[in-house]
Amino acid sequence: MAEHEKNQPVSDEAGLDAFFAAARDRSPRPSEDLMARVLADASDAQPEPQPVAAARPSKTSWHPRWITGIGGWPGVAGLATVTMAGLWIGVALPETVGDLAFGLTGDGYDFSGLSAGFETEATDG
Amino acid sequence: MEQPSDEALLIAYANGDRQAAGDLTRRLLPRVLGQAARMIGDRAEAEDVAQEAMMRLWRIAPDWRRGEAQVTTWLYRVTANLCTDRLRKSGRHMPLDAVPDPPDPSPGPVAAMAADARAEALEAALMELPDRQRQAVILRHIDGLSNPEIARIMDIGVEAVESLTARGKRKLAALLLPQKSELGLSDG
Repeated sequence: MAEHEKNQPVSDEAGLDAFFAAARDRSPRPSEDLMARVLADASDAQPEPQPVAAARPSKTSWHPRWITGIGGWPGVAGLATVTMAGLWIGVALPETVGDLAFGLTGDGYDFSGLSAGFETEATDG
Repeated sequence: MEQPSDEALLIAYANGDRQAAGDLTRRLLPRVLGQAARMIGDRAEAEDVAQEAMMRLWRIAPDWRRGEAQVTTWLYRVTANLCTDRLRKSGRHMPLDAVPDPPDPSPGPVAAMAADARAEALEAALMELPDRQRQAVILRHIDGLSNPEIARIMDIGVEAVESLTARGKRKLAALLLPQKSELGLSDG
Protein backbone atom coordinates (compact mmCIF):
# COMPACT_ATOMS: atom_id res chain seq x y z
CA MET A 1 0.00 0.00 0.00
CA ALA A 2 1.33 3.41 -0.93
CA GLU A 3 2.45 5.61 1.92
CA HIS A 4 0.00 8.38 1.10
CA GLU A 5 -2.89 5.90 1.35
CA LYS A 6 -1.79 4.75 4.80
CA ASN A 7 -1.66 8.33 5.95
CA GLN A 8 -5.09 9.23 4.64
CA PRO A 9 -7.02 10.67 7.57
CA VAL A 10 -10.06 8.63 8.53
CA SER A 11 -12.19 11.77 8.55
CA ASP A 12 -11.55 12.13 4.83
CA GLU A 13 -13.20 8.76 4.25
CA ALA A 14 -16.46 10.26 5.44
CA GLY A 15 -16.34 12.35 2.29
CA LEU A 16 -17.00 9.14 0.37
CA ASP A 17 -20.59 9.01 1.57
CA ALA A 18 -21.70 11.35 -1.22
CA PHE A 19 -20.13 9.01 -3.76
CA PHE A 20 -21.79 5.94 -2.26
CA ALA A 21 -25.15 7.70 -2.13
CA ALA A 22 -24.82 8.70 -5.79
CA ALA A 23 -24.00 5.11 -6.70
CA ARG A 24 -27.05 3.83 -4.81
CA ASP A 25 -29.33 6.31 -6.59
CA ARG A 26 -27.89 5.31 -9.90
CA SER A 27 -28.27 1.56 -9.50
CA PRO A 28 -28.83 -0.09 -12.87
CA ARG A 29 -32.37 -1.25 -13.55
CA PRO A 30 -32.92 -4.51 -15.40
CA SER A 31 -34.01 -4.00 -18.98
CA GLU A 32 -37.22 -5.57 -20.23
CA ASP A 33 -35.12 -7.89 -22.35
CA LEU A 34 -33.17 -9.12 -19.31
CA MET A 35 -36.38 -9.58 -17.32
CA ALA A 36 -37.84 -11.63 -20.17
CA ARG A 37 -34.74 -13.81 -20.41
CA VAL A 38 -34.68 -14.48 -16.69
CA LEU A 39 -38.38 -15.32 -16.60
CA ALA A 40 -37.98 -17.64 -19.59
CA ASP A 41 -35.18 -19.43 -17.73
CA ALA A 42 -37.38 -19.67 -14.67
CA SER A 43 -40.17 -21.19 -16.71
CA ASP A 44 -37.85 -23.74 -18.33
CA ALA A 45 -36.27 -24.76 -15.05
CA GLN A 46 -39.45 -24.86 -12.98
CA PRO A 47 -40.46 -28.29 -11.75
CA GLU A 48 -43.89 -29.45 -12.80
CA PRO A 49 -46.55 -28.88 -10.18
CA GLN A 50 -46.87 -31.90 -7.93
CA PRO A 51 -50.07 -33.81 -8.84
CA VAL A 52 -52.48 -34.31 -5.99
CA ALA A 53 -52.41 -37.99 -4.98
CA ALA A 54 -55.49 -39.92 -6.22
CA ALA A 55 -57.90 -40.83 -3.48
CA ARG A 56 -57.03 -44.29 -2.31
CA PRO A 57 -59.67 -46.78 -1.16
CA SER A 58 -60.03 -47.01 2.55
CA LYS A 59 -57.51 -49.33 4.09
CA THR A 60 -60.22 -50.84 6.25
CA SER A 61 -62.68 -51.59 3.46
CA TRP A 62 -61.67 -55.26 3.17
CA HIS A 63 -62.38 -55.89 6.85
CA PRO A 64 -65.49 -57.87 7.54
CA ARG A 65 -67.89 -55.47 9.12
CA TRP A 66 -68.11 -57.53 12.31
CA ILE A 67 -64.44 -56.73 13.01
CA THR A 68 -65.23 -53.07 12.87
CA GLY A 69 -68.34 -53.75 14.94
CA ILE A 70 -66.37 -55.20 17.85
CA GLY A 71 -63.81 -52.39 17.83
CA GLY A 72 -61.36 -53.51 15.16
CA TRP A 73 -58.27 -55.62 15.75
CA PRO A 74 -58.07 -54.88 19.49
CA GLY A 75 -61.57 -56.30 19.79
CA VAL A 76 -60.55 -59.39 17.82
CA ALA A 77 -57.55 -59.89 20.10
CA GLY A 78 -59.71 -59.64 23.20
CA LEU A 79 -62.23 -62.10 21.78
CA ALA A 80 -59.46 -64.57 20.93
CA THR A 81 -58.05 -64.31 24.45
CA VAL A 82 -61.42 -65.02 26.01
CA THR A 83 -61.96 -67.99 23.67
CA MET A 84 -58.59 -69.51 24.50
CA ALA A 85 -59.17 -68.99 28.21
CA GLY A 86 -62.50 -70.82 27.94
CA LEU A 87 -60.93 -73.68 26.05
CA TRP A 88 -58.16 -73.97 28.62
CA ILE A 89 -60.61 -74.03 31.50
CA GLY A 90 -62.60 -76.74 29.78
CA VAL A 91 -59.68 -79.02 28.92
CA ALA A 92 -57.13 -78.57 31.68
CA LEU A 93 -59.28 -78.11 34.82
CA PRO A 94 -62.20 -80.56 34.59
CA GLU A 95 -62.25 -81.36 38.38
CA THR A 96 -62.37 -77.76 39.34
CA VAL A 97 -65.08 -77.29 36.81
CA GLY A 98 -66.91 -80.21 38.39
CA ASP A 99 -66.62 -78.68 41.86
CA LEU A 100 -67.92 -75.45 40.51
CA ALA A 101 -70.69 -77.28 38.70
CA PHE A 102 -72.12 -79.11 41.71
CA GLY A 103 -71.89 -75.95 43.63
CA LEU A 104 -74.26 -74.48 41.14
CA THR A 105 -76.54 -77.50 40.60
CA GLY A 106 -76.77 -78.70 44.22
CA ASP A 107 -75.55 -82.27 43.54
CA GLY A 108 -73.97 -83.93 46.61
CA TYR A 109 -75.96 -82.17 49.28
CA ASP A 110 -78.10 -84.17 51.66
CA PHE A 111 -81.55 -82.75 51.63
CA SER A 112 -83.06 -85.58 53.73
CA GLY A 113 -83.35 -83.63 56.95
CA LEU A 114 -84.81 -80.75 55.17
CA SER A 115 -87.18 -83.06 53.36
CA ALA A 116 -88.49 -84.57 56.61
CA GLY A 117 -89.19 -81.25 58.07
CA PHE A 118 -90.78 -80.15 54.86
CA GLU A 119 -93.04 -83.24 54.92
CA THR A 120 -94.01 -82.54 58.56
CA GLU A 121 -94.94 -79.04 57.68
CA ALA A 122 -96.85 -80.28 54.68
CA THR A 123 -98.70 -82.88 56.72
CA ASP A 124 -99.60 -80.38 59.41
CA GLY A 125 -100.75 -77.99 56.79
CA MET B 1 -50.38 -7.35 3.95
CA GLU B 2 -47.00 -8.80 4.82
CA GLN B 3 -44.92 -9.80 1.84
CA PRO B 4 -43.84 -13.44 1.63
CA SER B 5 -40.17 -13.99 2.34
CA ASP B 6 -37.70 -14.73 -0.44
CA GLU B 7 -37.48 -18.26 0.88
CA ALA B 8 -41.25 -18.74 0.85
CA LEU B 9 -41.36 -17.56 -2.75
CA LEU B 10 -38.52 -19.85 -3.72
CA ILE B 11 -40.27 -22.86 -2.20
CA ALA B 12 -43.51 -21.85 -3.91
CA TYR B 13 -41.61 -21.68 -7.19
CA ALA B 14 -40.18 -25.14 -6.61
CA ASN B 15 -43.72 -26.39 -6.02
CA GLY B 16 -44.84 -25.12 -9.39
CA ASP B 17 -46.18 -21.65 -8.49
CA ARG B 18 -45.60 -19.64 -11.66
CA GLN B 19 -46.35 -16.30 -10.04
CA ALA B 20 -43.50 -16.81 -7.57
CA ALA B 21 -40.86 -16.67 -10.31
CA GLY B 22 -42.03 -13.21 -11.37
CA ASP B 23 -42.14 -11.94 -7.80
CA LEU B 24 -38.65 -13.24 -7.06
CA THR B 25 -37.25 -11.81 -10.28
CA ARG B 26 -38.64 -8.35 -9.63
CA ARG B 27 -37.31 -8.45 -6.09
CA LEU B 28 -33.85 -9.93 -6.62
CA LEU B 29 -32.73 -9.21 -10.17
CA PRO B 30 -32.05 -5.47 -9.61
CA ARG B 31 -29.76 -6.29 -6.69
CA VAL B 32 -27.92 -8.98 -8.62
CA LEU B 33 -27.52 -6.76 -11.64
CA GLY B 34 -26.29 -3.85 -9.53
CA GLN B 35 -23.72 -5.99 -7.78
CA ALA B 36 -22.50 -7.49 -11.06
CA ALA B 37 -22.35 -4.14 -12.83
CA ARG B 38 -20.24 -2.61 -10.07
CA MET B 39 -17.99 -5.62 -9.80
CA ILE B 40 -17.37 -6.00 -13.53
CA GLY B 41 -17.84 -2.45 -14.78
CA ASP B 42 -19.55 -3.59 -17.98
CA ARG B 43 -23.33 -3.52 -18.36
CA ALA B 44 -23.66 -6.24 -21.00
CA GLU B 45 -21.45 -8.66 -19.11
CA ALA B 46 -23.21 -7.78 -15.89
CA GLU B 47 -26.53 -8.76 -17.48
CA ASP B 48 -25.09 -12.12 -18.49
CA VAL B 49 -23.83 -12.68 -14.97
CA ALA B 50 -27.16 -11.66 -13.47
CA GLN B 51 -29.02 -14.05 -15.77
CA GLU B 52 -26.65 -16.88 -14.88
CA ALA B 53 -26.95 -16.18 -11.14
CA MET B 54 -30.74 -16.24 -11.36
CA MET B 55 -30.56 -19.45 -13.40
CA ARG B 56 -28.61 -21.06 -10.59
CA LEU B 57 -31.28 -19.92 -8.16
CA TRP B 58 -33.98 -21.59 -10.23
CA ARG B 59 -31.96 -24.79 -10.39
CA ILE B 60 -31.27 -24.93 -6.66
CA ALA B 61 -34.90 -24.26 -5.76
CA PRO B 62 -36.10 -27.91 -5.58
CA ASP B 63 -33.18 -28.77 -3.28
CA TRP B 64 -33.28 -25.59 -1.19
CA ARG B 65 -32.87 -26.43 2.49
CA ARG B 66 -35.26 -24.32 4.46
CA GLY B 67 -33.72 -22.08 7.10
CA GLU B 68 -30.12 -22.90 6.25
CA ALA B 69 -29.21 -19.65 4.50
CA GLN B 70 -30.83 -16.44 3.36
CA VAL B 71 -31.70 -16.44 -0.31
CA THR B 72 -30.10 -13.02 -0.80
CA THR B 73 -26.89 -14.10 0.90
CA TRP B 74 -26.72 -17.18 -1.28
CA LEU B 75 -27.41 -15.12 -4.41
CA TYR B 76 -24.86 -12.40 -3.59
CA ARG B 77 -22.30 -15.12 -3.10
CA VAL B 78 -23.07 -16.82 -6.41
CA THR B 79 -22.96 -13.45 -8.18
CA ALA B 80 -19.65 -12.53 -6.57
CA ASN B 81 -18.11 -15.83 -7.62
CA LEU B 82 -19.37 -15.46 -11.18
CA CYS B 83 -17.93 -11.93 -11.35
CA THR B 84 -14.60 -13.06 -9.96
CA ASP B 85 -14.41 -15.85 -12.53
CA ARG B 86 -15.13 -13.43 -15.37
CA LEU B 87 -12.58 -10.90 -14.19
CA ARG B 88 -9.98 -13.59 -13.70
CA LYS B 89 -10.51 -15.06 -17.15
CA SER B 90 -10.52 -11.73 -18.93
CA GLY B 91 -7.66 -10.21 -16.97
CA ARG B 92 -9.33 -6.85 -17.49
CA HIS B 93 -8.59 -3.86 -15.35
CA MET B 94 -10.17 -0.52 -15.86
CA PRO B 95 -7.63 2.33 -15.58
CA LEU B 96 -8.50 5.33 -13.47
CA ASP B 97 -8.29 7.61 -16.48
CA ALA B 98 -11.62 6.09 -17.42
CA VAL B 99 -13.10 8.33 -14.75
CA PRO B 100 -15.41 10.69 -16.63
CA ASP B 101 -14.71 14.32 -17.00
CA PRO B 102 -16.26 16.46 -14.29
CA PRO B 103 -19.51 18.10 -15.28
CA ASP B 104 -19.63 21.50 -16.78
CA PRO B 105 -20.48 23.81 -13.89
CA SER B 106 -22.85 25.86 -16.02
CA PRO B 107 -26.43 26.40 -14.82
CA GLY B 108 -28.96 23.64 -15.46
CA PRO B 109 -29.44 20.24 -13.89
CA VAL B 110 -26.04 20.58 -12.34
CA ALA B 111 -26.87 18.67 -9.22
CA ALA B 112 -28.08 15.64 -11.14
CA MET B 113 -25.10 15.77 -13.43
CA ALA B 114 -22.78 16.05 -10.48
CA ALA B 115 -24.41 13.05 -8.88
CA ASP B 116 -24.04 11.08 -12.08
CA ALA B 117 -20.43 12.10 -12.33
CA ARG B 118 -19.80 11.07 -8.72
CA ALA B 119 -21.39 7.69 -9.32
CA GLU B 120 -19.34 7.14 -12.44
CA ALA B 121 -16.19 8.31 -10.71
CA LEU B 122 -16.85 5.88 -7.88
CA GLU B 123 -17.48 3.00 -10.27
CA ALA B 124 -14.22 3.72 -12.04
CA ALA B 125 -12.34 4.04 -8.76
CA LEU B 126 -13.85 0.78 -7.50
CA MET B 127 -12.30 -0.97 -10.48
CA GLU B 128 -8.92 0.13 -9.18
CA LEU B 129 -9.36 -1.92 -6.04
CA PRO B 130 -8.40 -5.57 -5.72
CA ASP B 131 -11.43 -7.79 -6.30
CA ARG B 132 -11.96 -8.71 -2.65
CA GLN B 133 -11.73 -5.12 -1.44
CA ARG B 134 -14.08 -3.98 -4.17
CA GLN B 135 -16.58 -6.69 -3.33
CA ALA B 136 -16.53 -5.89 0.38
CA VAL B 137 -16.90 -2.14 -0.18
CA ILE B 138 -19.80 -2.58 -2.61
CA LEU B 139 -21.67 -4.95 -0.32
CA ARG B 140 -21.09 -2.78 2.76
CA HIS B 141 -21.46 0.76 1.49
CA ILE B 142 -23.69 0.51 -1.58
CA ASP B 143 -25.83 -2.56 -0.94
CA GLY B 144 -25.88 -1.77 2.77
CA LEU B 145 -25.29 -5.27 4.09
CA SER B 146 -24.00 -5.94 7.58
CA ASN B 147 -20.45 -7.13 8.17
CA PRO B 148 -21.58 -10.58 9.40
CA GLU B 149 -23.68 -11.03 6.27
CA ILE B 150 -20.77 -9.99 4.07
CA ALA B 151 -18.58 -12.42 5.97
CA ARG B 152 -20.98 -15.24 5.09
CA ILE B 153 -21.13 -14.17 1.44
CA MET B 154 -17.35 -13.95 1.12
CA ASP B 155 -16.71 -16.94 3.36
CA ILE B 156 -14.32 -15.01 5.61
CA GLY B 157 -14.39 -13.67 9.16
CA VAL B 158 -16.00 -10.43 10.22
CA GLU B 159 -12.60 -8.94 11.08
CA ALA B 160 -11.38 -9.71 7.57
CA VAL B 161 -14.42 -7.90 6.19
CA GLU B 162 -13.65 -4.87 8.33
CA SER B 163 -10.06 -4.92 7.16
CA LEU B 164 -11.04 -5.20 3.50
CA THR B 165 -13.57 -2.37 3.68
CA ALA B 166 -11.17 -0.13 5.61
CA ARG B 167 -8.37 -0.62 3.10
CA GLY B 168 -10.78 -0.23 0.20
CA LYS B 169 -12.20 3.00 1.53
CA ARG B 170 -8.77 4.37 2.22
CA LYS B 171 -7.76 3.81 -1.38
CA LEU B 172 -11.06 5.21 -2.69
CA ALA B 173 -10.56 8.31 -0.59
CA ALA B 174 -7.10 8.74 -2.03
CA LEU B 175 -8.47 8.41 -5.55
CA LEU B 176 -11.68 10.40 -5.28
CA LEU B 177 -11.41 13.07 -2.64
CA PRO B 178 -8.89 15.16 -4.53
CA GLN B 179 -11.60 15.52 -7.20
CA LYS B 180 -14.30 16.54 -4.77
CA SER B 181 -14.62 20.12 -5.85
CA GLU B 182 -14.57 19.13 -9.51
CA LEU B 183 -17.38 16.65 -8.85
CA GLY B 184 -19.67 19.21 -7.33
CA LEU B 185 -18.76 18.65 -3.69
CA SER B 186 -17.49 21.27 -1.32
CA ASP B 187 -14.32 20.61 0.61
CA GLY B 188 -15.99 21.45 3.88
